[in-house]
Amino acid sequence: MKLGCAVFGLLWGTTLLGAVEKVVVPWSFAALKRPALPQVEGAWQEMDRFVMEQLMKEGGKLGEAADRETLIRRATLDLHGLLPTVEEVEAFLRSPGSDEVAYGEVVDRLLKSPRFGERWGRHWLDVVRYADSTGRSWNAPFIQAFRYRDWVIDAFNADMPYAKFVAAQVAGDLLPGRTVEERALNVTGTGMLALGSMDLTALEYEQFRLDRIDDQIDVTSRAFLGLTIACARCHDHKKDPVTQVDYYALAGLFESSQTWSGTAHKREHRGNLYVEPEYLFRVSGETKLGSAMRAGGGLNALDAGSGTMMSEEVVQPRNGNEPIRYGYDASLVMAVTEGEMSNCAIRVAGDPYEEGKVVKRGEMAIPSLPPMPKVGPQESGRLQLAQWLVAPTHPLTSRVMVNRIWAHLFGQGIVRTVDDFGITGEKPTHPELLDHLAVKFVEGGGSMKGLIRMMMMSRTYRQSSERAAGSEVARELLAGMPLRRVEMEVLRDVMLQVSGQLDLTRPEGVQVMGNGGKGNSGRTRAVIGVESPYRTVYLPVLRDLLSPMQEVWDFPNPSQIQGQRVVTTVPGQGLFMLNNDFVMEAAERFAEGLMEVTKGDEVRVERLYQVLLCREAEDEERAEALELVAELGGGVEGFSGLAQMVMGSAEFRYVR
Amino acid sequence: MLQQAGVGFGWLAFSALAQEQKRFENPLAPKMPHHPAKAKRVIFVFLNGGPSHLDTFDWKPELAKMGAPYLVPQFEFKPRGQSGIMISEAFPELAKQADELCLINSATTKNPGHQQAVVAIHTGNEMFVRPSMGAWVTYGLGTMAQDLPGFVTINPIGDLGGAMNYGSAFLPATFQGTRVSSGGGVPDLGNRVWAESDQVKQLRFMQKANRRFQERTDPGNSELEGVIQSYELAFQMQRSVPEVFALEDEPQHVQDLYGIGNGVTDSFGRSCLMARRLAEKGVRFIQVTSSGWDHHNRMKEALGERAGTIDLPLAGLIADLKQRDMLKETLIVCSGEFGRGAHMDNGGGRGHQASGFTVWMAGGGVKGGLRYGATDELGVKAVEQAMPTPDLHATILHLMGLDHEELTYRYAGRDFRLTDVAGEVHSGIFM
Repeated sequence: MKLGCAVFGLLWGTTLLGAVEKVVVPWSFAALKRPALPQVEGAWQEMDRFVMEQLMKEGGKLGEAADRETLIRRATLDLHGLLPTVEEVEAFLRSPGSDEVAYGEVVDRLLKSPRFGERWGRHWLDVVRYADSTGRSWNAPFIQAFRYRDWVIDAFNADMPYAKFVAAQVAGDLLPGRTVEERALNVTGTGMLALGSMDLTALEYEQFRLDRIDDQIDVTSRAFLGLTIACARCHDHKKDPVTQVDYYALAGLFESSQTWSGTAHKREHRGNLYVEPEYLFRVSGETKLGSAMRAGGGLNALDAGSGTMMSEEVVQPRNGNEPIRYGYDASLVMAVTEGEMSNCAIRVAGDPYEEGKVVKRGEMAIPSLPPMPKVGPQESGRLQLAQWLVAPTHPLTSRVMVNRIWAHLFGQGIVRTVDDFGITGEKPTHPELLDHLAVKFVEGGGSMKGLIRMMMMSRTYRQSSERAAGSEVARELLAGMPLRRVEMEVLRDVMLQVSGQLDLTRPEGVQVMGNGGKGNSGRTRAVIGVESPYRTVYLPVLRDLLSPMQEVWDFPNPSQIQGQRVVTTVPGQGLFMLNNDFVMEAAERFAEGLMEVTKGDEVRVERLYQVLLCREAEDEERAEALELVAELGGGVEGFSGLAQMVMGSAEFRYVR
Repeated sequence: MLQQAGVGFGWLAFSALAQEQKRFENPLAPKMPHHPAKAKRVIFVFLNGGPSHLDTFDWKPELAKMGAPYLVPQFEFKPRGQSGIMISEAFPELAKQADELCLINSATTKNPGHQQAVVAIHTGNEMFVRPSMGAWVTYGLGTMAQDLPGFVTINPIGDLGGAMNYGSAFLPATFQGTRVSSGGGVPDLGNRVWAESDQVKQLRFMQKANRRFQERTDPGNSELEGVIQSYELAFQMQRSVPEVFALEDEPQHVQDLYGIGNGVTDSFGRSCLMARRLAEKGVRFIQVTSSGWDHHNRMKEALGERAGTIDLPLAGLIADLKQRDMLKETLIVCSGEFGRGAHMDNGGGRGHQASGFTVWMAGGGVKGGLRYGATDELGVKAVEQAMPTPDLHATILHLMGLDHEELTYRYAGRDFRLTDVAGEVHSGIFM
């Protein structure tokens, strides 16, 4: 849907008159300004005023408030990716406080739990194309990628200020830290830059090297800025005001850096091993790292033998047929650190061997964005890049992130193209709301939990999802809360949860094995898969080797930056819910539990609806459910068949 | 009334609301092509390893006169069919279909490394992760059989890019290839506990709940309509998928046509017959893979052995499609990732060669009995009507009714296409 300037009469593009030519810059480059608050009655949060005003113009209005049962289910799925327990629902229903107070307490409780980081960390991992293997032809495992993953989860749990979160991923090795542990954690953040999908067997090493730099530019510019700077590798950007000079100015930063991915290009490896622990970065103070991570995230498991296993103790198979396993060394992380200083030559038409003018690193000049701080001769410039990204005046960094967070709570972004804030992206449906949120985010010290709480306390978020009436435009402008399908992780985790199988600990140690390529000992595999009891975020993500469960439920391709998941609805999902062993097992275990804790089929049906759908069964439903149980032979089997169908139902699969 | 619906359901018919609301757009529903299509479907036969063109489909009399360090063609070439195109004795059965074959002797690819070239021929791009050709075609045209996947790949290779070669990259996952083995392979087709009659009861219960949920919360929501339909289709697939793979239902003479039951040709013959059955049902893009074509050593024996496994089945596939009047709208494309050089490799075979090799096509609106393009005297380099990978892709898309410049997908701020910034349609091969 296009809600362009015609609807709101706003001018999106700004035109700068340069000395010789006209440069069109995207709307998103305009300086961040605090918009005036619309004068609207009945808002619960300031942000509601923008939504309500826009809706009024279209002849729509916000819907009714959702009831408490709906609200606690929605909030728990959104913040934890799990269902509230029957006890939690009942406590909320009985809570004597006003809706505002009682619901606020629920949100606060959820934000404090470590389950929050597991849910929201995964959102970020989609953006940074997180994976536990290189993909491409050889597909070697990244044996320490999970350290970065856990760092992200812990950062969300600790409510790390967004500026720090950004800076650590671009230049964590250069950030000050009070303690050895803090510095080690900062370095872990740079793992983001080392996780790219690389062709370790690329014939030309120079091509490989430049592809890696390209990946680093791409992930940095799209994740934090919503800009596709990598489009300027071979020629000036066709749409956005980014030149090839800007690209190579940025390339110089990464060319002057050392990438520690733990994998080796075939030109670099020894003894045919593409996994090379020597190519991981060794942080100091490793013995305390495990405890530092625990303090940050309040979680366990990282101390399992931490700091005892050295890199050379890669566990070798006893015979050639067993997969290569790896020991865990807490002092090793994937990282990017300062390397040999150099400037990058433009590659004409992207050809690695056709060198043009050498560009001084850091000298980007994207019109109307603030200039980057000067890079010293002995600095790669990543620190300056980080400083530039997190400057409160940078118009993109905060807008892009508040939009991402919004999209996770409301189904789509205020800017629908969450990874593209350039000319080719969509324009915001609520430009002033976007700026209002961005300003609040910056003023709130970049607290992601604070921003999420603000959005969730709004009247807009607390609407019912019953949306019988209203125009198409009003729907798009949030008249009524949109239904959102739960992601593959949530579907799996919730089925484990309700059937009593879910293990909330972090799996210990390296969960990938193999060395890539073919053969029994080499082929890359996960140690734990979808059949294990761990939360889905902790299962290894292997490029080009996604499980059928991931594929059928639209898990994003981990080689692609994807801030917004595609939702397709296909028969394979129907087959999954009808027949998959994982679903059957969950339904059976759930039914067994049901038979133990309750007596009488009517009571059991009641309990089943409370656990699975967080509400009471209606009379009609109860009758139908009992009929089905009887038709399927009653008892555990009958209830298992019923539970399976309730889990397959749209209501279970959607956040309403 | 609802209770009587039984198998096949058809809930749509019962819901007045459903007719009023915005229809659920099934991403796999058939779509109009850009221009009238010559072919309705593709069967892509991929020969993994880089088969030699010099010993099969690219007749080089000059090479036959050369001594060391060259390797002369290892099989005798003869004129075939009415057209008289030259095909070697490595493919005696296929040679009988010469008048259906369009030999493109001028194919080229960029990179003579297996991994890069394999990924390039499947996705058009060796450097980045991109959607595969089958995913693009399915994205562009949808598919005719809603109870089968739109893109099926039979026994694909597991390495050299693996799933990337039938992946959808940034296109929705719906369009990626479904990998099947000779024994089926669509996941979750059967239930370990419930009989079909139980599932009918289960579904009746659930669809009622789904319909109630939809009507109560968000009647205009097309995604919920999709959920309801996905269960109907899933239930149908439980039958239709095993049916399509039930090769034993074919009469003996048809099985014989594909060499089923013969140890040498059985495996590939099954793949080819499976491909025909999928094509018949309306599956849009079908890939069949044969491996072991990297002949650095003992060209005559090694190539002869490999060719023996696919020669009869491929000839059978063409004959069978013809007798069913399906060949004219089924495009068969047979290609390796590259060809092989004129020099003798250390083991009596040939090394890799990307600068010129042969792709052949049949049916689907291409001229049979045609030798198109040419390599130089020794078959080393394409010198006439060179057809780099993007041209090959553009030409296949064109035959399917798709304009390779118009078939785009917006991702990361730009419109991507299978052919990136290149691609020329070679209309010289069209009927």
